Amino acid sequence: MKLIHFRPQRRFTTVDALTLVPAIALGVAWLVEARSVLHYLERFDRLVLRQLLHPLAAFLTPLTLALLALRLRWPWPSLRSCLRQAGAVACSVAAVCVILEVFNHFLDLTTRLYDSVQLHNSAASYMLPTGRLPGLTLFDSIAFSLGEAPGLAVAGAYLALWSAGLWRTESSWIDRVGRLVGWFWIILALAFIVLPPWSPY
Amino acid sequence: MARVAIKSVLLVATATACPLMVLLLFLARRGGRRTRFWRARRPGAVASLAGTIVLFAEVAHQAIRPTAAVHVIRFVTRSWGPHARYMGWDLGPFNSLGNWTAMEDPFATALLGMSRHAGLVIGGAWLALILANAWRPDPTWVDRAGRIVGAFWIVSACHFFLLPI
Repeated sequence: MKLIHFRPQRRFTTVDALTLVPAIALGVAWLVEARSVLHYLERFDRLVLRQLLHPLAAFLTPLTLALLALRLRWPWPSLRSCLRQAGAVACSVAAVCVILEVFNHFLDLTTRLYDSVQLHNSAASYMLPTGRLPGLTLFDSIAFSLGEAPGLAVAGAYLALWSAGLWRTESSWIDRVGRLVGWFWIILALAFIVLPPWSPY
Repeated sequence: MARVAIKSVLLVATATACPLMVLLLFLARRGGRRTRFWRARRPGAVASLAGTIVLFAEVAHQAIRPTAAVHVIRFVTRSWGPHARYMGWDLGPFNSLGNWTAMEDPFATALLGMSRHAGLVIGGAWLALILANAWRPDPTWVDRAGRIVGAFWIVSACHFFLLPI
């Protein structure tokens, strides 16, 4: 007797839309907020181009987290086969990297705030210009701290899945979008590498 | 001073780890009767494969940059003249007039990029193996050495987060 395993088709539901719309809106809000970078375009150089990449990474971040959350909703095949799907793996790996970068950003911010407070309480504080505390400007925000790490990690994950024969895909919108987001992360990482923040000489 | 010492040690260790990694990749190809996919699930082999690909990508990047820089110079100097370098454009090992300068060492730049990027790629590959429940460590010295080299690259990449240039 031939057994037919019923696997429910992953359809695009209202809950998916209600999760994705705020995530995309948050990313677009970062992009709109970062339009101040365009002010510097009269001096069009490599560093300005690089500054334009950061909002793109900030746009992908909420989308990645939302896709991962939606992937863990019903219907899903099984945890093992779910975590072998390229889209789910890309979102998981990128999410881990984003969390590590956020942690590193706040660690750096705490150190700089501590230094700033120490300096303002010192005897030389009258020499300091009045300025904002670190972390309160757009360029100091978390949107501008994301770099090439998620893209490189996704590239490594794709390489491992492909070389170990574990590359699985599902003919559903969520896996396709997940894979697409993974490729966007990889392209973004390559752009970050081609446009380094410093000149090596 | 400590920062300079750490960077120097890192550069030497990176220069040592790169050929070792390529050697380990060749040794890891031997797996008896095991299938190619089984061999590719060993974390040491995966680390060697990912690291070698990053190494070739970094070398290719450094090889392409001078050629690309010529086009950038032609485009940029038309607009900004000899001040193009101070505008932040990546002119490679050329100065703003298009002449070769020995101010940059492509070998050291490739090593620097290697120590920044290889750990991220290897970390992602290992994370994917763990998530897919495909982490199959092999009790051989080749795989153990591969895992040690992979761990070195990850530590090296983490160091750039905590101690930036």
